[in-house]
Amino acid sequence: MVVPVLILLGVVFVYPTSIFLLRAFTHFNPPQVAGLDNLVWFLGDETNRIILVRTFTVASMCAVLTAIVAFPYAYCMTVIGPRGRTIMLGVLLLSMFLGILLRNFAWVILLQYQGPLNDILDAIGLDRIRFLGTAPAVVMGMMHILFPFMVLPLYSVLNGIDRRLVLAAQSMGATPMRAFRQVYLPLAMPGIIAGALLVFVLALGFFITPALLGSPRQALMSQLMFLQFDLQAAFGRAGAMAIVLLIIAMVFVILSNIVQRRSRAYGDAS
Amino acid sequence: MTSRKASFAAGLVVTASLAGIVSGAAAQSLPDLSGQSFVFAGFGGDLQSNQDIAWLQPFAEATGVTVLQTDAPNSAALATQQEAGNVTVDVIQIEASVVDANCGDMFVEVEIDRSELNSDLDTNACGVPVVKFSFVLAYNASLYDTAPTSIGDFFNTEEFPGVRVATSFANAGLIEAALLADGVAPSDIYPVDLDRALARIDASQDAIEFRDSFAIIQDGIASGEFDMALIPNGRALNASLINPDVQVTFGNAVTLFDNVAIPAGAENIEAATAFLQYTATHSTQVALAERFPYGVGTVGPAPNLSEEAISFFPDTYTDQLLVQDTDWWGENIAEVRERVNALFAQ
Repeated sequence: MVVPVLILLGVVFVYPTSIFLLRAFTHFNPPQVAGLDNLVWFLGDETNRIILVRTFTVASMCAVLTAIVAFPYAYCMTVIGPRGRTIMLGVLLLSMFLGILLRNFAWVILLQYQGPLNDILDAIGLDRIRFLGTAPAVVMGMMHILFPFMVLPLYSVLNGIDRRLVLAAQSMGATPMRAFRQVYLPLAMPGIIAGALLVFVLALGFFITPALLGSPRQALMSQLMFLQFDLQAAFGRAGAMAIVLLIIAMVFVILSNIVQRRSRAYGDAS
Repeated sequence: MTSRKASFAAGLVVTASLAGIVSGAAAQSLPDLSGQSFVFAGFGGDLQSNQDIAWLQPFAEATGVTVLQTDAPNSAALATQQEAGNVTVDVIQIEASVVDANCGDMFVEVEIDRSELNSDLDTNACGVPVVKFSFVLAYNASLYDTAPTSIGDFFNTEEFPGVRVATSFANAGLIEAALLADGVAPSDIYPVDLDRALARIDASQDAIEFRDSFAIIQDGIASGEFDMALIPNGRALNASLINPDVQVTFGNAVTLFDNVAIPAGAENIEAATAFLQYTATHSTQVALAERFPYGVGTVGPAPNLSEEAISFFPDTYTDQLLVQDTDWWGENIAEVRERVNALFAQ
């Protein structure tokens, strides 16, 4: 069973990805000519650095904010009855199954100047806001799409926590807040980290949402890659960008593994 | 995302079927191509669905050929396929400047009868000029007492206040509009003074909204999100069908055209060449123009357009248009893309 899957992965993932990454060192558009020129080009150009930092910031914001929004949802799923849980899971999966373009356009309609959100602002006496084309609109749209990727790993961890531990802490004099912070939250940490990491890595590569809800003035890495790859046919530069993104993603995976191991050790010790 | 290629979302706007009936392959002898096939790569969206009805279906019916379709052609994908020796498209629609610059290497020369082509647009031995279109200034007429008269008015925020929007695509009229606004005479636009154009755009950056997709702009000008936009004339027509207040000026509208051409390495040269010959006739090109208001690359009697379409049709305004210098763009587009990207990113 494993062999066909490995062959499939090899053919459709490992091979094209390797070719693409290798091109960073073999394919050059003037003024780049050889060696590490493409990486030097990427890191040496101020525009590229601005876009890289922006992508990193947006992805981090998505990870943190999605975690904050998803935590109550996942927690609720662990305490609600089976029927309620099925509904909550169904809502989550339904939104995942809807096409990504559809969900992005739904946000265009919600956020547009004459849209429902602005109608509400107008009705309560506030000024209409031009949401579309701004970074907050992009983050909102991305959070919606990434929400299930946060909830599902989080739920699987929260569901395994014995909530009697929290009650035990309270019976021994902890305030509810303190019991949550010192007992529940550390136990939930592996789920939060796993979800946030997944969201962060996925967010690094978002293309359609920033293209539809954002503006070229908030371009992210994927848009820059599109420019270099698709329009400029500069495969080497795009490959160099992919290498940089890959390294960032890998650094975060390793860091989160270290943190997880620490928190597990802490759990064992206590 | 070259010009109209962002039409991946264009399906949102229903094409109102414009008056005009396909005239078909009138009075030309087409070869028998039964058993053969070729792949046509267009820009997708409303344009390609109309090309299907006006060009591909009649051609397939008359010759027996099987036409397969794909969309979103671009020079990068083509270059990759050519490098790998595996070219999957036979006829590609692409900006004329790209074919001008790469005829003989990326595209194959074809021997066809070019007598019906407009000699001003017939600029290379590989492609057939098709789909002449303009980047017009579309505006919400209910907001302005006097109508704008030139695409340079896009930058005139004093006389025409309101939210304006453009794409960041390098070759989509913005560069030329900036120069016009800066006082350059239409006849002196080319060769473009890029520093001057970018400085003018930079000075107005905060007054202009930028988007990555024409579909979003078309939707936004129809819904009232934006008051003024630089968009292709066909998209402006579609916006006006939803919101009749959307009107256009063709004053100095940057006008360019595409080519259909055969990429080097294509497998079905015979069928593809016959199709190019078919598109090189006036009757074929008129059949498309009558469905969708993009101009023709041929000479002959004017197409029969509906009243709505006629005010959105480039050839209605021949003496107002700013015909793009495709040579300049062919040589400089890569640099313009980098500079525009840098301008917006910071």
